[in-house]
Amino acid sequence: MKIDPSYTLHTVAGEHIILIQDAKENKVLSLNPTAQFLWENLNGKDFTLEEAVSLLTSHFDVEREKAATDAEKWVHELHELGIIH
Amino acid sequence: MNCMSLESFISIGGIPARLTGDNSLRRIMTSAAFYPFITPPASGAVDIRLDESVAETEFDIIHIFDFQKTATCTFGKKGTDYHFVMQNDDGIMLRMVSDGHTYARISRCPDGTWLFFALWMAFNLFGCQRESLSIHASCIVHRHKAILFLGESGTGKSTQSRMWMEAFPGTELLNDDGPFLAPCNGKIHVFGTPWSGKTPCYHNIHGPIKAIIRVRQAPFNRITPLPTLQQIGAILPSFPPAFSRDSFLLQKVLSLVSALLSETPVYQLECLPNTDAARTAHDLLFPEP
Repeated sequence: MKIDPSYTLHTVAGEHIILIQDAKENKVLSLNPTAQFLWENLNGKDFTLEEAVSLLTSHFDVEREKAATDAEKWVHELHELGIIH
Repeated sequence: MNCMSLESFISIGGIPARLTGDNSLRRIMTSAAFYPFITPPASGAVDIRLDESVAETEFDIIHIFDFQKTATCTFGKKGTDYHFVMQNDDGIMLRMVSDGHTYARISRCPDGTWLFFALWMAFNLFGCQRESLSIHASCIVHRHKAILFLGESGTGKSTQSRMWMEAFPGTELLNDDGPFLAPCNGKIHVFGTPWSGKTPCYHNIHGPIKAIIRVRQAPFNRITPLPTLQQIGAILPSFPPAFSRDSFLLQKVLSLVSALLSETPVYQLECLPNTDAARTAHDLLFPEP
């Protein structure tokens, strides 16, 4: 899977945000530090869920199980929003 | 032969502009909206040419939107130029092309409101380079400080301005629809403009901002500070929506949002259309000693 290249991570007033815009409205999605870390390391790449989990376990002091939950949640939420395909 | 070409200078949102043209220029210079913004000739002015022939060009579309139910607007880009076309079903058309830096050319158009709107687009494009942008807001000045009311059309921005003027004599309307925000001596100031919606209020003055208030209709009056993310969500859609769909212009818009939020508090006012709503906001912003 891949992050849709039409989305960009912006830093505004200290918040790390993604803008989701359609014809009618703007949505502002805020990324927490974990989500921001995954975005910065996986943006532009073809990746698997396993790679996302490994990124978290190798960079943070976190149990594999917790990392898997976080990565799954990240992928699921961004997929639902049409940002990860 | 172009012996009827005229020249005038205006300055809006801190952007000096030299305007040339004939009928369109006369229309602008004799309008109550633009008249206060006429300045002496200035160097470094952007070059806006009216009544020009602007060739039909294919460009990449950034955004299509409606203007007051009288025109379909198409905003796009080709190379370094931005293109803006307004048209209706009767074949009336206005074209503008601008590099967003130094020049804009606007075609002849029989409709004055379209012409004024095309100028709004042009000044916003020039403004993007200078962190000067139009914000969709009603703006009052109270004790030498500006307060901006934000909200979608119909939420009661203008009503809140009016309630302040009723409740607190000496409060004045600066602009009722489209003031500009622009840097001035290291701070972001709000500037009066010729674009004030249905209210003829065209003041060529500017000043510092006390607060930004997002207006929400409610069966009670309550003012609360907004968390940062919601501040961004309140302010971003108040800047020209077409601009947040172009990556270059979006960077400029977001940079202005960051600067604005670093120095200006943003509140949400849930309110009724009454003077108590004005007092609720006033008591928080200007507490009695």
